[in-house]
Amino acid sequence: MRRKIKTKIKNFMDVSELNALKKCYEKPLDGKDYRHYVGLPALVLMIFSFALTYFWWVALIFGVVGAIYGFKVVMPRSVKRSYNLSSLRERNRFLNNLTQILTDSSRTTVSGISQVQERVNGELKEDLGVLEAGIKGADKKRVKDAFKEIMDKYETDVVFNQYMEQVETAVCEGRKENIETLKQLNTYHNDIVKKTNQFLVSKETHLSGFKKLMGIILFFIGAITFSFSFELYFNAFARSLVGWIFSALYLSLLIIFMKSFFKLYFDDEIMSIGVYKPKKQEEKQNNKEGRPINPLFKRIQTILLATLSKESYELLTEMNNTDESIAKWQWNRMLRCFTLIIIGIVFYGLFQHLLFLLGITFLAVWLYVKGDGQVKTLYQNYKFKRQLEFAKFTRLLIPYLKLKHSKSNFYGVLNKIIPRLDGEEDQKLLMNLMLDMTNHPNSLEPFLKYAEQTSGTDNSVLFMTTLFDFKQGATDLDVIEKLDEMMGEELMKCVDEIVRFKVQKFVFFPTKLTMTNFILVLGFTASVLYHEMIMLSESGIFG
Amino acid sequence: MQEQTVMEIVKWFIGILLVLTLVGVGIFTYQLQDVNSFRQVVNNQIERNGGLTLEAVEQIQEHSNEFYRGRFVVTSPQLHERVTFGDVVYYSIEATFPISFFPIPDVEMSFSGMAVSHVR
Repeated sequence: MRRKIKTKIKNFMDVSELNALKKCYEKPLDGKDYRHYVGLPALVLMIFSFALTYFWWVALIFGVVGAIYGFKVVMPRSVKRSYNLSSLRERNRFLNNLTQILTDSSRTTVSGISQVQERVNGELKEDLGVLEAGIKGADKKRVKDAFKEIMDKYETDVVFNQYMEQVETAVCEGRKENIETLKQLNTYHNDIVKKTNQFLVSKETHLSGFKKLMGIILFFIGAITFSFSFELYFNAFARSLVGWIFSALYLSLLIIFMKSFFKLYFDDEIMSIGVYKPKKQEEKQNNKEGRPINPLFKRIQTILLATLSKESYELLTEMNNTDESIAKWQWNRMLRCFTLIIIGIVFYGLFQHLLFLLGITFLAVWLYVKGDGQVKTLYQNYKFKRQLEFAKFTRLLIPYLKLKHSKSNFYGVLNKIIPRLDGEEDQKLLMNLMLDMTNHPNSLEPFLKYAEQTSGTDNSVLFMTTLFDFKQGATDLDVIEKLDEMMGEELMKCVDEIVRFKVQKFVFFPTKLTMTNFILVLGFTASVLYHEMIMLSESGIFG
Repeated sequence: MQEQTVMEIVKWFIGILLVLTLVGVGIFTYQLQDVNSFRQVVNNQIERNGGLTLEAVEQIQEHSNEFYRGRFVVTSPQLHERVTFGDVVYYSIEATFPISFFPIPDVEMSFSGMAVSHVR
């Protein structure tokens, strides 16, 4: 679904691409950018590795690694971020301006677009120019194509997309029945911009905390370096095997935490938690369904499903997974757990140390339990996506319902919406609804089924019920409009939840980083004691 | 959050300090009790050689060098003197103890002792 993934194959962007991206709204890359994005990570890694080992070549290697990381990861991400932000701000400006202009009933939508196009800057100006050229005097097919182009480009901005859909409806139908919806969407977009900014501010706070923490840690390293004596530190820690082992452990943990911190830091998406791809799995299952299932497998499958917690099973089933794939997932989870425990037993046999067995068993159990948490995350994301799809459906539907002849031709309205829905799956569901509608003209059942299949929330059921009433003859659209508003608010709540979920992940970083220093404490103490024992036995104290 | 980190790190730092101080004190006291066995050697040499004769001092120094890395040096007002049977020889052991872990100058201590010549 998401286009971003395609560019990710390359995994990083080269300088010319970055420059192009940066020039969309700002000036090109300059020396300051290089110093900031490439120099800083290199410097931090260099200082830390040098402070731990006092080998200039180790510091050099880490410096180069840091520079490469900065060049290939940090710089592209920050350039992309600032591009995304200015792009979002520009889109927001466009939305606000256009909404204001469209309230003037004497103006057409197309002239409104061309007027706003002159006011916005950067890349969006060009995109709007293309759009304007595409829709002026074009037939419906070409209008749809023109809108599709700009909507695909800003696919991640869901509200913008919904807004553009409304504009498209207005252009196609030549009327502005949906100005209320446009206003509402505009409010939502303002909310999104506000929330994005809040999210960024809270992440900025965490970043400055992270930086301060690094400073404190560096100060701590300095304290243990110089408070006993530099000679002791140098000989016992920086030039001993024990010290090297602990330093390597410490540095690698530090790097892992830094990496995961920056991954979270640059994750600006407030409309999704991660990438969820249920479709691939389904296709696989469909292929297998033709084959007869071995009864033994069936038995194993039942046993595996019985071991799964009820909650996880329900969530996985709700995400359109078959029993077979759930059993397979559970099997893999158990297999991983058992492999770890076997490794633990082998280690126990080799080293005769109970700690290995306990530690690895603990790890295995932790991984197993973590699986349930992953299911929950997936489910949350899935739910959000479904909600989004349903909200899209309602947004598309309502302006059409407002057209006067719509009630007499409810079927025709749905028919118009089908090609405008995104996924093939959603289109198929709507077609099924239409089919069921014709087969059982006076039944509520098809509507409820559709609500269950798409979103499944109480609100969606309610919406579909009122839609049924509307079709049966209720005249007022007020209730439906209110419900639509509620759906939108629910969507905003989802966004809030995602932001909270993502900010929460930062909370553990200070603790993690602080705890990492315990390795340094242990390593320093152990290496100094070891060093002293060797010195003493050499000097004959125990002789 | 940073306050907690600083607290935690200071705690650990104090922990390191305490551990190393304790171990350092342990090593120091271990070195201290070496004086007893060394005094035994000095006494023996004085008894056998009838005072801190040149030979006795040589033997003592050799022992100190071999087993204690020359941390102990014997001084006495009756140095290089041979005394008669039953006479008392007073001496003091000048000991230099290095301090582990901390950049503190070596501690110098002196332990006095006496022995009686057993040579007729």
